[in-house]
Amino acid sequence: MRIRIVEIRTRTSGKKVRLERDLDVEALHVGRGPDNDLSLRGLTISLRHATIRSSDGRVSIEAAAGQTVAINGRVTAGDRLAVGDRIKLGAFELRLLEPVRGFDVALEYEEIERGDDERRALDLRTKIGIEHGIFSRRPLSWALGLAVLAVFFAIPLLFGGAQSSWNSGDVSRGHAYIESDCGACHTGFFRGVRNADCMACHHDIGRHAPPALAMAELDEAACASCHLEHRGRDIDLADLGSGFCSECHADLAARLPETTLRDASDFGTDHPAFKLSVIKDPTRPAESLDVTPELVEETGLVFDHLHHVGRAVSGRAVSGGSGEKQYLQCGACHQPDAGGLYMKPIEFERHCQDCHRLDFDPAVPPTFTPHGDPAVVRARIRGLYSERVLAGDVKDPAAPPRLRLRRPGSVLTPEEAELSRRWVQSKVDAAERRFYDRPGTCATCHALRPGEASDGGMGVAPVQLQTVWVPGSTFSHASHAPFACVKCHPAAGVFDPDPETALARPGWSQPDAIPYGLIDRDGRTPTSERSADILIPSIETCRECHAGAGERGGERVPSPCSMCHPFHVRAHGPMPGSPALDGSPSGVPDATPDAVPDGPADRAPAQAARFVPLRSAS
Amino acid sequence: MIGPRSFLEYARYRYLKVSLVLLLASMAIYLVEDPPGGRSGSSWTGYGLGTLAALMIVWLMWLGLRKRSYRDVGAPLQGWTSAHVYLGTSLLLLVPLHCAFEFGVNVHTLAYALMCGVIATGIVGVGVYALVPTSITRNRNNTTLDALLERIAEIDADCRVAAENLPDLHAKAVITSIEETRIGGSLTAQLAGRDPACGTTRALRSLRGSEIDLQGDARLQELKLIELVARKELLVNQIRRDVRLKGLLDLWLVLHVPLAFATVAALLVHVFVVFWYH
Ligand code: HEM
Ligand code: HEM
Repeated sequence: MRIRIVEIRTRTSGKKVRLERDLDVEALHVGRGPDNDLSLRGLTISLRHATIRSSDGRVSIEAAAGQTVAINGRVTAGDRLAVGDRIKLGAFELRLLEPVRGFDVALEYEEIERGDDERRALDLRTKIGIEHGIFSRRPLSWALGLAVLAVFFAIPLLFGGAQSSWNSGDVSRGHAYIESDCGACHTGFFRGVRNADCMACHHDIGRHAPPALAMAELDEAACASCHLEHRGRDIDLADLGSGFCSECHADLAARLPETTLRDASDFGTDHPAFKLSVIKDPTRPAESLDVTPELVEETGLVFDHLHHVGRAVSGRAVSGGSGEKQYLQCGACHQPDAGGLYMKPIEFERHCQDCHRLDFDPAVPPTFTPHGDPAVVRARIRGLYSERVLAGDVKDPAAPPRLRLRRPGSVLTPEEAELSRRWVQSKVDAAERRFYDRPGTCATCHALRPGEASDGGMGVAPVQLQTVWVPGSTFSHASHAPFACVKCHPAAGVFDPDPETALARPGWSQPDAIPYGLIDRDGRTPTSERSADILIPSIETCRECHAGAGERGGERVPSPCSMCHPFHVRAHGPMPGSPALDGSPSGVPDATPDAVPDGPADRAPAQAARFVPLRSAS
Repeated sequence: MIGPRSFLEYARYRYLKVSLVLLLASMAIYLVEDPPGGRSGSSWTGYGLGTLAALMIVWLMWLGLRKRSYRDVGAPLQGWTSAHVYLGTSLLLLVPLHCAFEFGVNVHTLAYALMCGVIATGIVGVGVYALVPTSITRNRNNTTLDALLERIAEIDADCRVAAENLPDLHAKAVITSIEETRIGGSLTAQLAGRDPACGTTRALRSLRGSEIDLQGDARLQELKLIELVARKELLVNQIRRDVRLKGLLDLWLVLHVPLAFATVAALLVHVFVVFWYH
C-alpha cells in the first residue's frame, strides 16, 4: 500500500507548513512508540495504538486491543474510513484525503490541542484561599447585616405583629393582657410612655402630697421613671424599695418645714411611734395624737371589755339565731368589712341588742324601740299607746275603765281625751323609768342628760366611736387573720372563767393557750376595764414580726414603706395629666372606698354620723 | 504578619490597663447607683454604659478597617491591634453592666450574642496568630508557595518526557498524577491538609506495583519516573499543609468581620427600638 502522509506543523510565528512523506507499507502502524510508521507524541496515545489498512480501494482503521479511536467524534474500536473522515488520537487529528494518482491512501495529520504549559494547567487545578463566593468577608458581612436588618427591623416595621423581638422583657402580670399590643402604652414614636398613656386606665391615681405643697418633682414626674416595665412577669411595679422613700422622708422636716410628718427611713430601726386618730370629744373630729401610756379616748360611751368578752350569752350575734349559749368572743362584735381591711362599725341593733334588750311592756316586742334620740323613742312609745286608745284596744287593767270599754272608731269626747292623755303619759313615764333604772339599758352605756333632748326631756351624752385608728396606713386585718386577736390587742382578751355554764371555752381564753401570756392576772396586761382605754397596739407590737425592708434572712418579714403607705393618695386629687382633670367622665366607677383620707382635718369616720349630738343638730 | 506577643505586650500592656480601669470604673458606677425601680439599661448608668459600649464597637470596627490601609507597616499597627483586642474583650462585661444582666429572647440580646461571637472569634484569632505563623514558616522551609508550585510544574513536564517510551501503564500513571492532583479546593479540603484520593499518590502506587518487567534503558527510565512522582508527592503534601495553615489563619476572620457587621446591624435596631419605645 502506497501512502502519502502530510504533516501540518504550526510555526511559532503561527504560520502553517506542510511536510510530505511517502511510504509503502503493508499496513500503517500508528502509536507513541518510535517503531511505528506514524509515531505521535503524547502519553494518552498507546505505544502501538492503531493500524490503518487499504484493500481494493477500501480504507479502514483498527485500534489495538483495549484502545479506541474517535471517528468524526464517534468512539470506536475500528471501522471503515471514507475520504474526509476525521480521526482523533490523543492531541492529534488525522484526516483522510482523496489520494493523488499512484497512491492508495492520503493522510493528513495535525496536533490540534497544543499541550498547555504545565504551570498554567497546575494553576487551573489549584484553588487556595478559603474565601469563596458567599463565604468571604465582604459578601458574608452584607448578607448577615442585611439579614439582621430585614428580620428584626424591616419586617416588624412593615408588618407589625412580629414586634415581639423588640420586646426587651416580659411586662408585669397586671399588664400581660396587653403585652402584644405595643401601642396600648407606646402611643407615639420617639416620645416614650407619657403619663397620659398610663392614666388612660389609671385615671384616678392620686398625688403624693396635697397640691398646696406644690411638689412638682413628685407630682409631675413621669410614671415610667419610677415604674419600670418589661422587667419580668413577677416584678411588682409599685415596689420601689424603702430607699426611694427615705430619700426625702429620712429628713423631711429639714426639707419641708411645713410638714407635720415626722422623719422615717426604715420601719425596723427608724420609724416614729404611731400616731392614732383619737376621739377626745365626741362632738368633734378625731385628733391625731402620739401614743403614750396615759392616752385615753372620750367617746361618750360607757363600755368595757372586761365585762363582755368571755361571757356566756345567747343571741343572734353569737349563735346565729339558734338561741344556744356561747361565750362572747371578739368576732361577735368586731366583723371585718368586705375588703378585709377594717372592722365594720359597731351597731347597737346588730351587736348589742340581743343582750341589751330595749323592752318596756311584755306586750310589745323589744325591737319596737328605735335605738337613738330619746325624744324619738318617747314619741314612738306615745304613738303606740295613743293608737291603742283610738282603736279601742286598751287591755291594761290599770287603765281607766272608760278607755278600756270604748268602742273602736268613735270620736273621743274631751273627757276621754284627757283620760287618754294621762294614761298614755303614765305608760311613757313607766317605760322611761325602765330604760333609765334597769341595769343593761340606756343608763348603763350612756350618760343621762336631763332636759337636753330635743323635746326638752331626758337626753343622752353625744357618742362617737372610732373605726380607723391609723388612717395613714393600709393595715389589713384580713392579712393578719391567722393570728388570734389578742396577739395584737391583748387588753381585749379575758381570762375570767364564767362559772355559769359548762360550755367549752374558746381556745384563746384558756389559760394555757394564751399567746405570749399577754393576758394575765398577774399584772402585765390586764383586760381593759375602762371605756377610755385604747387597745390599738404600738409599733413595738408590729416589730415583733415586721423588720425593716433591708433585713434579709431573718425570721421577721422585711417590710418596705409601701407595705403600709401608698405613695399615691387619692385624697390629694389625681396626678397631673389624668384625663379625670379634663372634666371628661372617668368611665370606670370608683369601687374602692377611700380608706386613706387626708391629714387629721379631713378625718370624718363613718361612725360619727350615726351619733349626731342631739342638741347641736338643730 | 505581626506576632501576638508584640501586640499583647504592646507598650507594657497599656491597653490591658486601660481596659481594666474602664471595667473597674464601670462596675463601681454600676454598684453605686440604685435608681428607683432597680438597675436596668434605661437608668442613667444604663444609658451611659450603653453609649460607651456602642461608641467602642464603632471605634473597634473603624480600627479594624483602618488597619487594612496600614497593613504591614509595623509598629503603629501593634498599637491599634493591642487596643482592639483588649478593649474589644472588655465589652464582654461592659454590656451586661449596661443592661444590668437582663437578657431575653429579643433583638437586644441578639446584639449581645453576636458581639460575643465577634469576641470569641477574635480570641480564637489571637490564639491562631500565636501558633500558626511559626508553623507556616517551618513548613515552607525558606521557599515560597509560588516556587513550590513552579517545581511541581517542572516535575510534571519531566514526567511526560520520561514516560514517552514506557508502556501504557506508565503513561496512564503520569496522566493520573498530572490531571487528578488537586491542591486546595473546598473549605474542608483545604482545612484537611491532605487528599486521600490524590492523583499523585495513586500514580506512585501503580508505578511501584507495576508487574511489567522492563530491561535496560526502559528500566532506568522507569526508575527515574518513580523518583520524579515520589518527589512530587512530597511537594504536593507540603503545599497542602501550607494551605491548611493559611486556612486556619483566615477562617476566624471570615467569621469575625461579618459577625461584627451583623452586631452593628442588630445594635442599630436596638438603639432605634429603645429610643422609639424609651
Ligand atoms: C447608644 C447605645 C445604647 C443605648 C442608648 C442603649 C439603651 C438600652 C436601654 C434603654 C435598655 C433597656 C431596655 C429595657 O429594659 O426596656 C437596654 C437594654 C439592653 N441593651 Fe442597650 N443600649 C445601647 C447599647 C447597647 C449595646 C452596645 C449592646 C450590646 C451589644 C446593648 C445590649 C443591650 C441588652 C442585651 C439589653 C437588655 C435587653 C433585655 O432586657 O432583654 N446595648 N439598652
Ligand atoms: C465587638 C468587638 C469587635 C469588633 C466590632 C471587631 C471588629 C473587627 C474588624 C471589623 C476587623 C477588621 C478585619 C479586617 O477586615 O481585616 C477586626 C480585625 C481584628 N480583630 Fe476584631 N473586633 C472586635 C473584637 C475583637 C477582639 C475581642 C479580638 C481579640 C481578642 C479581636 C481581634 C482582632 C484581630 C487580631 C484583628 C486583625 C485581623 C487581621 O488584620 O488580620 N477583635 N476586628
